[in-house]
Amino acid sequence: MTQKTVRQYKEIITSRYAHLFLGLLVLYGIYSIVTHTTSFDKITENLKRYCYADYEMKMPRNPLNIREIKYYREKFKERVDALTKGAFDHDRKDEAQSYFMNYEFLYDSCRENGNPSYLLARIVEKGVTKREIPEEVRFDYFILGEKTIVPFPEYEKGPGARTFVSPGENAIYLYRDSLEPILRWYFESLWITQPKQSYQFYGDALSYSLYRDLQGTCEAMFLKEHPKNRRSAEESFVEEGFKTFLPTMLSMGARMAADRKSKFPSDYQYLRACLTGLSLDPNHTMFYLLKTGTLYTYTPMARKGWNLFLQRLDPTYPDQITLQKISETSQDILNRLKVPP
Amino acid sequence: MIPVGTNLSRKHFPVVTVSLLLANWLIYFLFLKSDVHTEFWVRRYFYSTPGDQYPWQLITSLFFHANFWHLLGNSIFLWVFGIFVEDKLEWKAYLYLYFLTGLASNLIHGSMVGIFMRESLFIPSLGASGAISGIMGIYLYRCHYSKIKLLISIWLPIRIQVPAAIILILWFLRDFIGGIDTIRGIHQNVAFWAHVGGFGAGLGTCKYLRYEVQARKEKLEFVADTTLDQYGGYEEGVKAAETLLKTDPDKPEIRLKLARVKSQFRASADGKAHYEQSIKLLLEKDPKKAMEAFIEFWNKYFTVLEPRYQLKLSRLLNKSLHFDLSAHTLQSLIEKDPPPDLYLEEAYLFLAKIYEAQLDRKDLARHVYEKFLEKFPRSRHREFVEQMTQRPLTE
Repeated sequence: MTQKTVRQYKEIITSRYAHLFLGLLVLYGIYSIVTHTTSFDKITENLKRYCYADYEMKMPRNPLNIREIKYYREKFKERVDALTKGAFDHDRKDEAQSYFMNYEFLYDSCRENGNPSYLLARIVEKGVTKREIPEEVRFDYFILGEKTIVPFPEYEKGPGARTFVSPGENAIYLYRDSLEPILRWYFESLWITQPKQSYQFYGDALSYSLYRDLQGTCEAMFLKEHPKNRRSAEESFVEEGFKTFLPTMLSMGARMAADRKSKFPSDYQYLRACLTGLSLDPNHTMFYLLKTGTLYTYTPMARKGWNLFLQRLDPTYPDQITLQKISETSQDILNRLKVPP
Repeated sequence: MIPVGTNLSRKHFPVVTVSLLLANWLIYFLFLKSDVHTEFWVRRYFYSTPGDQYPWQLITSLFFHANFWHLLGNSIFLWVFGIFVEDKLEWKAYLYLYFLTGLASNLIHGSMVGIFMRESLFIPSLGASGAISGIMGIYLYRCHYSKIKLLISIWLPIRIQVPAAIILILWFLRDFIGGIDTIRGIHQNVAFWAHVGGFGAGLGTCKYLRYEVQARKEKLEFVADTTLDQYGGYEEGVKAAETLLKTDPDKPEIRLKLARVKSQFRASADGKAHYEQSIKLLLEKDPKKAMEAFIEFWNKYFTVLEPRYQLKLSRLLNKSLHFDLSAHTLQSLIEKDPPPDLYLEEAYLFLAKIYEAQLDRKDLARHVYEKFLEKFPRSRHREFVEQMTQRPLTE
């Protein structure tokens, strides 16, 4: 009896089918390691789902859908609460902010025109700066990387929406992801074409604008250095590129900081910030992006300003557009805008 | 293009494949009209979410499908490939490998997401396609010589046959490229790495289980089976059959086909030997077929087998009311005068019985009894046979 049992066990152990099962267990081990997520990842994911379900509640839907979304929102809220037990109370913004700050993430939430808006993004840099616009403004700023949770206006407008700056409660947020994908796209096209002459750096209007702003970086990298490692070259290109546009963004931020206490509508504040940035630190790319981007403005003052901006300096003739003209035009529009009541 | 079948034939009913299909459809209909609470519950606990996983989800996700078309597509592929793999592997191994490759596909998909696409760690995956890809991998390994019947489209019902190796390798490459695209950030709504993982697991499993030996035999059997029946161009079949019979001589059907080919135009020693072998093997597996094969053999060679087999065959012939043929074959056996044994004794007595009872030839029966007494003077049936010979013929 015992010998028979031993023989049966031996047969099982030496069976190739059993070996395959052991192989599967090893694979499960690898899987468990590579798919491991921290509680931070889980909190972020469930918070994101909760926030987006909250946004969906505000979007026009049929009543049945609303009930479903409401249920999902509650479930994700329950999950966030369960996961954050002991770490922070999600309903208290300051606690949530300090929790995310530990992981170098910025969390913010607010209510604008009755709509909830959340923001969660990696902090690339934070600091204090002083700008003259022409009045001197000192403000705190955060340069934010790719957003994990996008604010409601961006979510509502869809993937094409691009915002360069926005006002936070205590600081100005500068969004690096409004430019980074464009810089990466431009780098990739250059890496593939490997330009040898300056005219090979551009084809369409956007790449021409980028080349005009980043001429030094482009030529140094592709005509002189010829880097071999694509990844490091791309990172350095994006870094250099962003540095070029940062002064404009800071000027925009300064205007936002100065207008913070005004009662201007948010879209009008944004228009003023963009015009200030372009008048003080003009560049071709941001000018082109603002000219060609879809406008979402609701207040008459903002619409009037953007219409003026769109009418001036035709981007189909880019050679006729100079930094000086961009600056003068932006300043002129800014001056012509009446201060709303 | 939609696969609708293959040029292989099955030996058994695909119980496991049908059960898996039924289970998938049953679960689909069970949760089709579920409310939002159930839907959330199913998503949370039964779909496979690599970043927030319960171990059982690796199995349960194989039974859930996103919509009707997802399930229909998977069902078609499982039916087309699964039934033949089940036929080749036997049901236990098939079921084991279905779940093994399904699990492996989910693990490989999750691992690829964990390494290259961490932003998708919380996106759930579902469907049996990983396990079905595993079955397709096994099919490629075992049935690479077959052809897949493809329907060009539902709107254009034209069927074409494409070698399985070509179609399955192209299918794998499509998924592999899709997988690379997902790594490059091109959004895809298909878990390509589950397909690639399942397919690779299927192939790897076959290699580890040394299925190539069976695959080689099955290929030879398939070639022999399909080409030996043809009027011309059967040389390849003859070659395949001879190679196969060297390593696996217990293949009566192949032997019979080979015997027919070898005896097609004239009698040959090879043909005769194959007939004899196949009839002997069939006698154990399928006596009716053995009898039919023997009738063919008799018509071509007018000879009988060894007493042991011939007695069985003649009895079968007698049972099937072939009294004349039964008597002729036994007569032929007696005339052949093989070394005496118990079977030969039986043959004499049985022949005499046929003459007496069925053919009403008592004279011939007496003649057989007399010869029996000459041949087996010390038989235990002697007393009975003597009695039979002493009966008057007119009785």
